[in-house]
Amino acid sequence: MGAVRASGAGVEIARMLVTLAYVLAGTAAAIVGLGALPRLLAGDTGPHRAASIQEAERRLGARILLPGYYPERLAWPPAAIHVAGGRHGSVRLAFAARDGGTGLELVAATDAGVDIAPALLSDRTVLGARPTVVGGHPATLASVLVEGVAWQELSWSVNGRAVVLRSQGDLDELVRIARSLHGVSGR
Amino acid sequence: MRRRGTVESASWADILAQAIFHTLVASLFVEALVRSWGVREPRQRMALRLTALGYPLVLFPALVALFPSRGEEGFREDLALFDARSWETVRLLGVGLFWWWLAAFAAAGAGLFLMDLWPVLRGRGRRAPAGELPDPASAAVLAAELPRAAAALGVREPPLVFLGRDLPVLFCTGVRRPALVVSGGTLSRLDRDELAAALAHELAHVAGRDPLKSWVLMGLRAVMFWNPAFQVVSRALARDAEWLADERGAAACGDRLALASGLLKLHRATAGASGVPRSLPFAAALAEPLARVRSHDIEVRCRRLLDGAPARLPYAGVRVALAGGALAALLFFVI
Repeated sequence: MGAVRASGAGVEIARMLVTLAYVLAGTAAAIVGLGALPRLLAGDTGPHRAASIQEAERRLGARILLPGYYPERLAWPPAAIHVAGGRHGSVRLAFAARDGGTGLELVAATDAGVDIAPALLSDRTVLGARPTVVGGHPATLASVLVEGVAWQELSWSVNGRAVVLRSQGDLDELVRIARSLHGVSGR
Repeated sequence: MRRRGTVESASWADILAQAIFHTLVASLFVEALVRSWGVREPRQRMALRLTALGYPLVLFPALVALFPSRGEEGFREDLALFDARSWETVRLLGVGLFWWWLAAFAAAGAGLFLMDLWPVLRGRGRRAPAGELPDPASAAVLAAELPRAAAALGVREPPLVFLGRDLPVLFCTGVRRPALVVSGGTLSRLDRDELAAALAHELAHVAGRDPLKSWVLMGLRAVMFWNPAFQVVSRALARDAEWLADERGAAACGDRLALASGLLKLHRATAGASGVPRSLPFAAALAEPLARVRSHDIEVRCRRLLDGAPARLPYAGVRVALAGGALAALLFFVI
């Protein structure tokens, strides 16, 4: 009698837990589906955070431009990596200074002739701009305000790939980093 | 940079959207459990529904206060199952769907709240109906049935307000000192058994302090007026309270059939008598669906009474704890 009662209780508990599990799984699946819907409707515009350069390259299906010259004052690896625009989209690398001071941002497309994904370019106010040259390629050097903070911004193309490099540091350092980006001729 | 800044410090809109979506998920999850587990006993249904109702009041504020890192971009990107802000990328008329959803849900919540607040506001200014002396026959019937029902439910006999009108009226009112309001129209329509059952039903509300609870619930609904799921669950809870009063009343009078029959008679006598006031926009269009819903509610209550007393499921406390724990764990990852 006791064994039958215990077996009945076991069946009831099992039924209760299994029901809870499938209701929970169904709810979680519905939530995940609802979360994925905007990307399906609007296209995968991002930006999405990537944990490492390797992960960002895997998501983009392309190699990321990296500077050959990397000042000692900047910490490695990048403090934040974001990708946007799906396969062969764009990447933004944010580098922090080791002493917590001014940083550097590198935003680049991974395909030639394609604009940088707008999701990666912060709203900015251009205070002034002048044409310049980076490694023999025409470029634009601008002073911009991003959230009230002044940056020096250099934009040009590396083998047809649009690149934007921003720094709050020294202008010479910015140009030197720009010239050292892989693929730039006349380093 | 700007986006990172706005996302890391969750704005009021993020918190509002999260509270609305969390309550929606909690109420649907609890409803799915109520149906899947086959919970029919009103107290058990109410306990589970209170999990969904208590979520935005207790668990959600705790989640926001104790885990601010949930709002950070890393959490959104790497751990969150759902990020409401992702709907901002889909735009309609130049505005992200996140804002459309937020406005639509908040408007739906406010609409549902106002639908129930409106009758209360209309009634405010009006004086409570003055009691009249019942005719000797009515007085005799009430004197016989009321003490019996009160004794069966273990409550003190509440003061009686008798209305001489022919319209059937029967309800309990009053927070601190509940009273029973009954009209001559009710006594003339119900036979002795039906009256005993109907009185027992109302006294069950008195025993459960339902008038007080309904005002507390209304206050919470006012606080959560922008939360549609909260409004819907509150209504479901009120319906469960009616079912509970049915069960307690039927158990006290010992005649489920008489209570079902009394319910039907009173419903038929009042159907169409208290329509939606024409001063409301779309009143005429709303009147019929509302009447249908009310008729459906009465039908369901009668069916439940005819089906017999619902069995209590075992491990009621464990079920509520599991539902609450599973919800908290799941919604931690929903931002």
